[in-house]
Amino acid sequence: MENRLKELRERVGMTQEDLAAQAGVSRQTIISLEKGKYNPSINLAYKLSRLFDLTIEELFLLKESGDQ
Amino acid sequence: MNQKKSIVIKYLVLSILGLIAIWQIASGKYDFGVGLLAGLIIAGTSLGIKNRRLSKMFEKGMNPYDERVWMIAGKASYVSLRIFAITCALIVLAGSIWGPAVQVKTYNFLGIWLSVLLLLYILFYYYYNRKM
Repeated sequence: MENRLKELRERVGMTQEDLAAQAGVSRQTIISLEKGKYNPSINLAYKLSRLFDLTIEELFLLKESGDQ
Repeated sequence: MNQKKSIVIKYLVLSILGLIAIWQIASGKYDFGVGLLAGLIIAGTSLGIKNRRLSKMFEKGMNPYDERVWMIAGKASYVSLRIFAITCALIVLAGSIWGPAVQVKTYNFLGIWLSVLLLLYILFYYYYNRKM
């Protein structure tokens, strides 16, 4: 799964630590999300998209190659 | 269980083990007593450092035990238990076929196998932590 997390976070001038604190997760989780190594749960995806005033589909993009 | 209760329980367990270590040293069993005491000092120090780091994270609003950590822990437990069970089964199978007479001290044997399981879990935890 791809996402626009890094782009949006940098656009609003937020650090990874700030975003982690606002989403209630660890900084490591934000790093993994930004690198596309970790796919979040629906709760976390919803929380993150609300932080940027976007829908889940606008923040997370499912690749056609069949991500798990 | 909240963070404070968890810390209190961990230190309580360390204190009980500390008393056992002192009792063993006083009874003349220096090897076991000193070994246990040294292990407890290392465990207590690392626990203190870890708690300080976690407290700072909680203060900032972060959650060090978030969903990713649970997922990694779950995967590591599953894989290490599977490998452990398969290894045990193979050893039992080999033992039942060739049947070499092995004399073991029960508690040492149990301790070694538990250490193997713990080691497997730690290795897989680090593996999935890097992967995810």
